[in-house]
Amino acid sequence: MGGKKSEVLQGTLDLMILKTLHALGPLHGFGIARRIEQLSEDVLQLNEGTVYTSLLRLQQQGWIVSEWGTSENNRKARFYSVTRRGLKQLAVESENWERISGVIGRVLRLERQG
Amino acid sequence: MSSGARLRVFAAKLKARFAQDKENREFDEELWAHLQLLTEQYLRQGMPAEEASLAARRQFGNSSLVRERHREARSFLSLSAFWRDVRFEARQLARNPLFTAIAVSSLALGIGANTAIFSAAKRVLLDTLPVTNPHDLRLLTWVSGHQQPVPQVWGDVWSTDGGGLASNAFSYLVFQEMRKRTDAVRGLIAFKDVKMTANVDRHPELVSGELVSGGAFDILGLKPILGRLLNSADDAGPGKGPVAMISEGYWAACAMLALDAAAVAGSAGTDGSVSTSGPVDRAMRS
Repeated sequence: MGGKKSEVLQGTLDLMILKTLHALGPLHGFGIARRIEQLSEDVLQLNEGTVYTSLLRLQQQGWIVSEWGTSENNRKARFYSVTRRGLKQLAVESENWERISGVIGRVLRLERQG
Repeated sequence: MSSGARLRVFAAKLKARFAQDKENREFDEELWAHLQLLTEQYLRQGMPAEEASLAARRQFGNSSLVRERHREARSFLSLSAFWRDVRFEARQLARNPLFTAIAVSSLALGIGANTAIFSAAKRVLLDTLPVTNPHDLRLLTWVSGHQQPVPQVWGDVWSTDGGGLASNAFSYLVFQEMRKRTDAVRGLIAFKDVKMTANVDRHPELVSGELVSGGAFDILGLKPILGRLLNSADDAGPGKGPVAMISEGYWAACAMLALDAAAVAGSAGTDGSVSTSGPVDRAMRS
């Protein structure tokens, strides 16, 4: 899909990161950015710096924790992982998202009446 | 955000406040490493070095903005954000008056109760008596077997661990004998609480009083505001020339009833007998 890329919706980056960490286990910021880029298949326009703002937000809520470690290519890196509280939040947010996107989908599919 | 989540964010910020320099340095390192990795990725794709670095920066976005936001989110630096929060909370409270009322009154009750308990405990446990040598004062107690040396109505009598009785009520004769032993104590005071009638300006009323031995105020080292204190000479004997003193509090209460202070000092009597004496030192009020 060429043409314009969509901006990441406000608030959805947190959910995407939470889900990514849940699915792939501990990752550093670069790894998270790569994964989201890969999944979005160039549809999303992601300023990778905002990943870090989101990571901080998630940490402050206690949904993820970070730990310094060594990356695949032997570099010092900070790894993020989901906490138990984060898992609960992920379940809540996912359900919320499904519901909202379902509603929006139905609204958009409305046929013209009369 | 729930209040629990709010609290966690607050705690995280508070913690960050004390580790700010380290955090900032680490975050810079983290961003730098990210940019490096992006650059390397472009280099592997065959880009010239300079172009790769530019592409990495483009991909990353505005790094100084990210750093600034990061710093701001981690701290209380942003005062405007702080006031925004305060105003927001104030509006929330105003919007929910019942909740606010309950919260405020629980706080008020909690603080009030604690203050009251502390004031009482301070008086009992921490404050010393307003006398010259409060630490030298001792309350004497006798301990006996099963027999009862004094009538129970004289004062408190309680059982000891050994099955005997103990009390700090002594007979006047015992007191007189003990007072002679000046080698053991510097001074001995006898006292007993009594209810008595005070005639103030011909209005009788029931008051709480204390019968004391004459030398009591001397031993305690007190000074009167008006008139004189009781002294050993007042211990003339049973029923002979009883003298009374009133506290400053009682004097003030009489004065509040618009009674002439001189009249109070002159006519306060107990059990019908005339007595004169000034109010006791302000410190003895309690």
